[in-house]
Amino acid sequence: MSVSMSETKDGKDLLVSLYDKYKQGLFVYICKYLDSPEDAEDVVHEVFLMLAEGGLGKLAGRNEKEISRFMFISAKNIARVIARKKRKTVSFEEFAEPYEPIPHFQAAELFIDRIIEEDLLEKAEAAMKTLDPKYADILYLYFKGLKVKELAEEYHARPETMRKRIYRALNALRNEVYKGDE
Amino acid sequence: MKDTETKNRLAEAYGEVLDREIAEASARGAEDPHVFSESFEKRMDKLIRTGKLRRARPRKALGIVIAAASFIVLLALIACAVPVVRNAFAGFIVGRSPDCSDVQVRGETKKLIEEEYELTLIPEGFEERKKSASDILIKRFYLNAEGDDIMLQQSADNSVHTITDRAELTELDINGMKVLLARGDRCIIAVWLQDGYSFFLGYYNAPDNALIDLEYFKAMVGSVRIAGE
Repeated sequence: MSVSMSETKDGKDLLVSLYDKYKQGLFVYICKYLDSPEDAEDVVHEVFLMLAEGGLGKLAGRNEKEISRFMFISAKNIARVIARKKRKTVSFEEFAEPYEPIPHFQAAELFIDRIIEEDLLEKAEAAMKTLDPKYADILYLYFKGLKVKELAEEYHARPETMRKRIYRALNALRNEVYKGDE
Repeated sequence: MKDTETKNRLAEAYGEVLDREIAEASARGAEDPHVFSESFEKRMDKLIRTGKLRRARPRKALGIVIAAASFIVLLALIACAVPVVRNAFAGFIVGRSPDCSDVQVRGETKKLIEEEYELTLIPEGFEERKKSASDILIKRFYLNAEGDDIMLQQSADNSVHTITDRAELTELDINGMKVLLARGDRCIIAVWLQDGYSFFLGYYNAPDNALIDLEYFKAMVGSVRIAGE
């Protein structure tokens, strides 16, 4: 019978340590996205629930810095979902995929090859720092090795939708890197 | 430098931004700690100390949001799958809605890839960089130094191609084949049936680059043939 990491002693200790260290910071961070302290508390709870339910297992082998980054990105995603739910009217565009021409092929993924071949790494690193967080968050998790299916679960989206979001994010990065080039 | 190393470097670049945000939030939290509610403390105590898992708010609360989101996204997808308007193209089954088109060639296709096809007319500056292949699908990617991309897809299972672009669709004849052409802001796409395979050719130009000449693109369509012939 498999045991989730949070059921092991090490897992429990890690969960306690993360909770004690980050609960206040998480709460403050989430309050940027939500008006209600009660909702912010719920998000904090959801984050640690996610970790206890298997999240810790997925993060096995990662250092604490990376774990904290995952936690805060997850908190942001949960907070955004709650914030949308709270609005009295929600337009179709809020949930539907925003219209924009999407490359119909994997041009965006090949951009990583180009970064290496064209010696664009420094430019790309700088671009990552100024990219819209909604793209940067996705790319961070993607570059750290999360598969499309795992990202889809994280974002409560279908895998095909998630694939499109990754391509959009890669395109946003590509546009940022080539911006100003003539 | 390898692919994974590059991805890690890029992730770490944004990671530094995240670390700063986390540090600032943690510092503010330490300066002025929030007094958590009693119900929160009880839930967390159960979760952290005893390992008992219980959701703060009923799962359905978030579930409703997710279901609503999925439903609305589903509506958006259905809008394309159940076409508002079916255009009468002789060689193609096309479903159009305001935002996208589903395109499929009319006619029988082979069940498996028996011969590989390639683009024999390639614009100057492009070269084939990547190829992915399975029993029923081959994709070839061509790139140039300016950031423009070309993809040639050969499929044996009569794929439905979704063109997510408010493009004008035109059916025309190239070398005796019926070809459906779609032209968007930064891409030109062609779909056609050739020798029992459904083909897709797409040219995508990087921002600020000029789109390829239409006549040249049509010639590229006509240049697709069995590799090595």
